This record gives sequence, C-alpha cells and structure tokens, in this order.
Amino acid sequence: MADPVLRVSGLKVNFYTYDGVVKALDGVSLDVAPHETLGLVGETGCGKSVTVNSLVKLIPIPPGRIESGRALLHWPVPCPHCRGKGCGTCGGSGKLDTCEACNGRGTCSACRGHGRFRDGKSCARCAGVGKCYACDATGKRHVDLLALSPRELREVRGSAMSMIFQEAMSALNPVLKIGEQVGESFYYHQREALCRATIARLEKEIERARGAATGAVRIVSLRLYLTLYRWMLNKTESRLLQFLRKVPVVRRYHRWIEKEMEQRSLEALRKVRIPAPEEVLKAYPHELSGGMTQRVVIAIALAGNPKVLVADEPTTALDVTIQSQILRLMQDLKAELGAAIIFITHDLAVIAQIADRVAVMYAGTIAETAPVREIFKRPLHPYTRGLIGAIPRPHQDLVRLSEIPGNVPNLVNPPGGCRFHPRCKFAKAEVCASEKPLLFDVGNGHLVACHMYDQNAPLWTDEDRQPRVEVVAR
Amino acid sequence: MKQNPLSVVGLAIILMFIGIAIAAPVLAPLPAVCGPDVGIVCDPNDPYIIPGYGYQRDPLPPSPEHPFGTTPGEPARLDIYYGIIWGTRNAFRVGIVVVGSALLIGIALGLLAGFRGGFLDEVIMRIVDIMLAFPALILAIAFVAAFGASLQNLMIAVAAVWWPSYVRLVRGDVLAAREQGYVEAARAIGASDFRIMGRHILPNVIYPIIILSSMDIGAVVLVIAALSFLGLGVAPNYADWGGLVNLTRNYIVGQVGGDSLAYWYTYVYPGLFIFLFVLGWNLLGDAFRDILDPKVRR
Amino acid sequence: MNLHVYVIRRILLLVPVILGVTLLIFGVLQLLSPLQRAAAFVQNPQDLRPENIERTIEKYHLNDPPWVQYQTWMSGILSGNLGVDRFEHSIAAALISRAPTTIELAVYSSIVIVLGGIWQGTVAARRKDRLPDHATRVLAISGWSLPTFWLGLLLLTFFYGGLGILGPGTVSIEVGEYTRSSAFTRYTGLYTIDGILNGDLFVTWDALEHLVLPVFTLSFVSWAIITRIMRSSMIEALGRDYVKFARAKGVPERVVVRRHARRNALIPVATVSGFVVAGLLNGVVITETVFARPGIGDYAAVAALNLDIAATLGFTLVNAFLLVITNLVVDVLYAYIDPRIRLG
Repeated sequence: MADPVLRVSGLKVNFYTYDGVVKALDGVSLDVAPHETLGLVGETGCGKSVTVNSLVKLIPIPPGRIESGRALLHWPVPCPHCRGKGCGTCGGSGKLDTCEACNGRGTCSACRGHGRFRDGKSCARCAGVGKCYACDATGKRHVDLLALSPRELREVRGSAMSMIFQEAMSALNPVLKIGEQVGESFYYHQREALCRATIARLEKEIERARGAATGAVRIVSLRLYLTLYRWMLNKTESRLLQFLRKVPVVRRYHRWIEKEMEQRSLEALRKVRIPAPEEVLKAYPHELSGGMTQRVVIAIALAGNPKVLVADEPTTALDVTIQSQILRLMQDLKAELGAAIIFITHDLAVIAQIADRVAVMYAGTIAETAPVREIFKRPLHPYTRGLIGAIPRPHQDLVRLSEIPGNVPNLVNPPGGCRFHPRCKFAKAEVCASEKPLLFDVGNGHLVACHMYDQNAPLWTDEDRQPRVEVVAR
Repeated sequence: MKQNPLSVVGLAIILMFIGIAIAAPVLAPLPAVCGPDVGIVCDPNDPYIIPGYGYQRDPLPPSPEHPFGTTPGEPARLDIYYGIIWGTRNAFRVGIVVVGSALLIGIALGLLAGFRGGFLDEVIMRIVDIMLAFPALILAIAFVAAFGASLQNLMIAVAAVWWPSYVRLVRGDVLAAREQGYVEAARAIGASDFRIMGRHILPNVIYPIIILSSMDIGAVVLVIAALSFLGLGVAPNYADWGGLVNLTRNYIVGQVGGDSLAYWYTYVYPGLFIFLFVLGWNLLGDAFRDILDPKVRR
Repeated sequence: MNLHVYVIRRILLLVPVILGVTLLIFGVLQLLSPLQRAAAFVQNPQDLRPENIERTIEKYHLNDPPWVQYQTWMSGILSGNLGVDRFEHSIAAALISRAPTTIELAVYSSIVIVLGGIWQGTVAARRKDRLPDHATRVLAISGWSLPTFWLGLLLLTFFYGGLGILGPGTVSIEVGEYTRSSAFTRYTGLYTIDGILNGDLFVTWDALEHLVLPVFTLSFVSWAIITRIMRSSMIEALGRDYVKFARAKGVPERVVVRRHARRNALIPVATVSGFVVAGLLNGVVITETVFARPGIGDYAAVAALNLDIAATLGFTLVNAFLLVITNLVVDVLYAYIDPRIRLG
C-alpha cells in the first residue's frame, strides 16, 4: 500500500502471568489506508483487541509488555508558526506534514539513501534499503505510537486515534452526567479553540454590560475572567489555573468555558442523531438505552476528529435492528469526517456489510489480508477457507455444518512455526512446523501468511492453492 | 495460599497458640504448695486463678521464677507468665463461644428472614437495624452495669451485639440462593419449607459466612479484652489477658508514682499476646478473603 | 426522585428506629425488678434496709406499671432530663460539660481517619503489588489487630515515661489553670478553637500536643479499615471499562484517577466511613481512660465500674441517637455521590 494512514509492523506483545508467558501477538503487521474501513476478524482470543489496545498502550502493562514492533501513524500537525492559518513555512496549508527525519525526501538520513556508507558498511538504520525509517519513505510526518512519551500519547488518544468499545453502557462513568463526559474530549483536545471562543463570548458580554445599569461590577469580574482565559490560551497546563478551580468564588470563571463545551457537545450529539440532545446532556448513563449510549460513545470518539477510529465490537451487544442503525450511522459519519475505521468483529455478516478490506487474525498472527470481495470469493489461507466455508448456506443440501477441526491453541505454548499448522489440512511438516510464514503478496492487494503461497514453494500443487472453499458435504 | 506468605504466618501463629492452650498444664503448672506460709496465694482446684506472690505494691521484674514478671500488689502480685499461658485457653473459649453462638442465631434468623420474606423479614430486619445502632462496647457496658461484672455477662453481651451483622449477610445470600432453579424444583416435588432451607439453601450459604466469621474470633477477643481492661469483666486474679493489663493501668499513668518505663513488662507482655492472637486470625481470615474474592487477587 | 425527597423519606424512617431503640433500652431496664433497680441508687451497702428501699422505689416511680414508667422516662428525656446518676448529679449536665473534650478528640480523629485512609488506599491501589502496597497491607492488618488500650499505653510509656513529652490529660496543668482563670473565655469548650478565638495560641498548641497521642491511638485501627476498603474499591474502579475509555479519550492520568476512578471508589468507602466514625464512640471510651481525658467515654467507663445503671443508660441513649443520625448522614451522602441510588 502506498500511503497508509496507519502502518503496524512486527507487533509482538507478551503477557507475563502466574501461569506462564502468554505470547499474545507474534509479529502482527497491518496497513490501514486513509478513509477506508478495515475489518479485523477472528475468533475470540485471537488477539484482535490486544492489537488495537497495544497501539495506544491501553493494555495493562505490568503483566503485558510490548516486546517489539512499530506503529506509524500519519499525523500532520497544525503548523506551529501560523497556528493553522497558513504561512510560508507550511506553504499556506496550515499544516505541517513533512517527515522530521528525512525532511520530506523519503530517504534514510543516515546513509543519504544509498544504503551503505563510503567504507562499504551497510547502514543499520535503514537495514541497507535506503528508505527513511521514520516515515517509511513516504516523506510525510509520522509518529511511532509505540515510542511516544506518556504526554504525547495522551495527545494522540482521542484526537488522532479514537476507540470505542463493546459495551457502551460500561464505557460511560455512571456517576457523571453525559454532558460532562462528552465535554471532556473537547476540553482536553481542543482547549485552544475553546479558549478563543470563550474569549470572544466574554468580550461580547463586556460590550453588553457596558450598556446596562448594573454594568460596573459585572464588567470587573468579566475582565478578570478574560485575563484568566488569555492566560489559559498561553499556558494550557497551568497548575495555578487548575488550583483556582477549587477556590470558592473565583472558580466560577470556569463556567464560561463549560458553556462552550456544552455547545460543542450538543453539536456532537446532534451529529450522531440523538433526539433531544439537551436532555441527554443532563442525564446519567443508566437513564439511556443501549443504542443511545452507543451513539454517545461514538460522539465522544469522533469529537476529536480522529484519523483512525477503532471500533472494538461495537455492535455485538446490540440487537440486530439497532445494530444496523449504528452501522449506517458510522458509515455516514466516516464519509463526512474522512476517518479510517478499524472495525473489529467476529461476525462475518457485519464485515460483508461495511468493510472495504479485511484482515483475518488467528492466534496472535495475521493470516490473510484482502479486499472484502476477495476474502469471500477467493479465500486463500486454509483458516480463512474454513471460516468462509463454515457460513451456512441455506440453498445447499448439507447433512452437517462445516467446521475447522481442532481447537484454538494455548498461547502459553503455541505451536512452532505456523500457529495454524496442527489444524491445517495442507500442512507439510518440513516447513510448516518450523518456520513462521510471512505475509506473501499474491497481487490485488491480497496478502497471505501461508507457505503454500510462497513463490518458491515446491511442496504444494496448484490444485492445493485453488481458492476452493472447504465444505464438508455428504 | 502458598503464594501468600502472610497467611502462612497467620496459620503458624494460630497453631502456636493452640499448642500453648493444649499444653497449659505443662507450661505453667500450679505451684505444688499454696498457702500463707509459703507466701503464695492460689486455688489448687482452679488453675484459672493466677497464683499471687506477696502483697507488696511494687511488681517484680522478669526473672527465672517469673519469666514475665508480676503485676503490682493489688490484689496480689500475680505471675504474668502464668496468666498469659492460661489466658490462651480463655481466649479461645471466649472467641469460639461468642462467635459460635452469634453464628447460630444469625444463620437461623437470616435463613428465616431471607427465605420466608414478607412480614417476618421486615420485623427481623427492623430488629437488626435497631441492634446495629448499638456498638458492642456500649451495650456490654450497659449490660454489665445492669447485671454485674463477670466474664459470662460479657460474653452474652458481645454475642448479643454480634449476631445482627451475620443476619444481614446470611439474608443477602439466602435471597440470592432462593431464586435458583433447584429451589423451585424442590418446591415442585412438595418439599416443605424447612426441608428446603435446611438441605438446599443452607449448605450453599454457609461456607463463606463461616470462613469470614473466623476473622471475628480475633475481633471478639479484642472487644472482651478492652472490656476487661476497663475492669468490667473478670475477677482481678482470673487468667484473662485484658484483665492483666487492667491491673497495671493506674501504675502506668503515674498516679501512685510508678515509673512507667521501669514497669513496662506488666502490660507489654499481655498486650503483645493479645496482638499476636488477633493478628493470627486476621492474617488467616485475610487470606481466606482473598481466595473468595478473585477480583482483588493478583 | 431527587435528593430532597430522598432525604425527607430517610428522616421519616428514622422515627420508628429511634423509638425502637428507646424501647430496647427500656426493656433491658425492666428486666430487673424494682428492688434491684433501687439498689443501684443506693450508695452505702448498709443503707440497704427495707425502709430506704421503699423510699427509693417511691421516689423514682419504680413500682408503677411499665407503660407509665416508660412515659415518665421518655417525657423526661424529651425535655432534656436524663435522670440523675448514682451520686445524684444530673446526667445530662455531666454529659454536656464533658462533650467538648470528646468532640475535639473525635473530630480530629475522624479527619485523620477518613483523609488518611482515602489517600493511603489510593496509593496502595495505584502501586498495586509493589512495595507501598505491601507495606500498607502489613500496616493495616497490624493496625486492626492491635488492642487500642495497649497501643495507647505503649505510646504513653514511650513518649511520656521515656521522653517526657506528650503527656496525658487535655492540657498541661499550667495551661489548664490559665484557661479556668478570667483571662480566658471558653466559647466552644474545645481548647484548640478557644485558643485561637482568645488569641492565645499557646493554648491551642498545648492542646494539640496533648491530642497527638490520643488521636493517633484512636485513629490507628479505623484508619486501617478505611485504607483496606479504599484500596480494594479503587482497584476495582481502576479496572472498569469507563476508566479505560477515559484513558482512550486522552484524559490525563491524574484526572482519570481523581475524577473517574476515585469518585466511584468512594461510594463503598462513604458507607463504611459513616459507621467507622460512629464507632469512634467505642474507642473513645478506652482512649479517654488511658490518656485520662475527662470526656463522655471516660464518664461511661467510670459509670460502668460503679454499676451506675442510670448513667450508663443515659450514655447509651445518646450514643444510639448519634449512630442513627450518622446512618442518615451516610445514606444521604451515598445518594449524593451515586445518582443511581436516588431512583429508589
């Protein structure tokens, strides 16, 4: 893929528990193109949630550990010089989108793209290839999510990359009102814009108070608030400002920015088509239905205008009618906001409905990646073939539903080589039990992690490789 | 359990105390001869009466004869070591009897309230609410003031304030168990209420309560010790840990000119054993609680 | 239902409980025959002659039917008369004059217990299974295995007997004399506050000095309980989905812990805190005895020793009333923190 918005390579995650080391992810690699919906499918326990949670370090780190891997997110930032308005530095676009390492050239900064140095030694940074490591030769500004400091990570979460989870009701804090929770995203990601808007509002109020009779006292307090907000604009994380929120009388200054937050929250709720948003803002989560809470959660996730929205089984807990409503909502919003979606599910029907491309996971590895039609019509990986084959087809005359023999492996002692090989009809002991298959490209944007599709694989016939869907019939 | 070293310590402590209690006659035998001529005051028929060695005001410091020293001379200089060894038996007795009786009443009433529900439930729960308005110490004091000071009365008083919390716990569990399928099945084949309560619900409800109540043994001993310390419990020369500390109370706060630092042994030892005893039960109970509550583990 | 309605409902439910409490106390009283009860009012064993007993029974209406006695007793209480103790002093007056000492001790202890417990519990939960957590756990278990009186005696011996500081009593002798002189006005009866109000900070300082050990002794056990509950409650809250979601939103960790996790974790802690604070009255009896502070607890202990039924029961009544009020406060607090409760 030429210019992915998110490129995950070689993600390896282990969990160190009392029962042993769980090798949850064994080198997961994914690409997500801008504006596309990537469906991430797999059985329970195959590592779909672990993968996306690791990207923003939401996995519990004491038992868990990200052993290796990179996750490059294409993330242009507002140009610091003109603050988004457009200037010479950013070429008028307001955004800074050049890779800091290679300055937009795309070549490795250490070896100048040659791959080796004058003395013949191979360049370690780009492994001799010459491509810029930081942007993967795209020249655009990327960040490695796994290498961010906690502070930077905090900025990414909710703004560049958002997540929604399965149980919407439990994703919301039961003791806080909806309005407070939606407002939080705006407060922590769009503080500057909020400040400016509040300042504008305050200035208008001051104008109005001039005319009125009781103006004098009010103007004084308003001017005080104005200074505080100008201060907040400059130093967002000021401890003193936070402290002032506790001081009895002065803390009313915060109400003004809360009004702004309310405005934006209302808009966000309207966008997800929640009826009567004003009342919903004042309600508590347990007062809403399942579908409504999921909409609220989506509103929160989209508040920061993310480039990638990760939806971890958002419809699994909803009934089918609500499910289709939510799916349609997500598609509409995606079109409007231009975000990419990683949609995790174990339901192939949902995938068929909304995904552009599909990645199939098995036991902590990616088995196959392909455009959605390809996956259903030409499944190549034996596991995928089994999955597609297991879909019941009403028009067929089957005595027995198809299944994949065996069980999902224990990840403390996973099988060597290809993790699927004990259950695979086509497995050949020589290579499948010892070597882990990489993702081989078979054209058309179709990648398979199976030795059968290795170009130099003599052990299999073309017959084997036919994308025949496995069905046990009688 | 092995992962939790503290629970092993708890178990070891309790086992040690059990050993002491069993071996009391060997570890601290009554003196062979008692009487004014030998200078020892004791009751040969009741080993729970601590032998006294003289009536001088100042206590004797620890020595080979009196490993933990003696108390000050009122009513007599009692051997602290002896008091502690035999006090162990007392502690077990008090703890088990009080918790046991509270458990019995609590489980019975909890079963009734939870299972029968309705008016009976309301009445029992109101009574429980009222009883819970009394902290153990206060009611015990009231009881003792009304009926006189004796270990018996103390035990009755403490048991009386202890059972209401068990009723609450048991009732909650019974309410949950009542909705289970097997209860309906038993009813369908005509089992009487008592039979259902006894054979089906009780076994399922009883284990967590019993395990949690083991921690209360320590708590009860603490309360009784506090009451004895106030002088409300036993006769002064009875082998009870709290009572031993009571005897030295005035000395320590310096009323009669006792040098508190010099006579530390008079209360440090008995208090230490109280602490260890309760600690043992608490460590044990804590370990049990961790086992029963997987959310807090790891 | 909103908060106000809930509060009113709870207050209304108070009445039957208080009634029940008084009935219970009265019932205990009635278990003794008039003779026994009369004997309690007599000071001298030699006075136990039939005529004296008759007179005592007459005087205190001990022979009337129970409901009449109950009526006299209750009306007396409602008008603030708790009866007289063994020495013919008014119980109510004694309790009122001794109340400030106890209140001072209880209030400072409550603050230490609640704030200290919450803070320590949060720390232990955040650094779970690491050194601070283990240390807290050991400390907490030791804490509630300790006999309060033993701890008090140990501290007193070490600091007062050994180092000569932080002695028993509420204030040192000199300061005590000063406060009884005309130069000092007792506004509240609490030495620490009065010291400030009088502008005599050394009084406050002295009182605080004498409060250190008693507060520590009284708080230690309860603090351990609160810490433990807070810890497990916090661990549970931190594992919840909404905390995960808040982090995924990009909320700073500090805010996640404070606003999301802790507010939910406080719910069970609030309930327990209420009972713990109410239970302080228990501990106060012991602590005041050990540290020779003339408060309500000390009064109760002495009354019990003297077999002074009337005084003990007066104390019990006050205590029960306090507990019921505390229950109410806890329930209201609970409803305030957790909006789900308010719906009934």
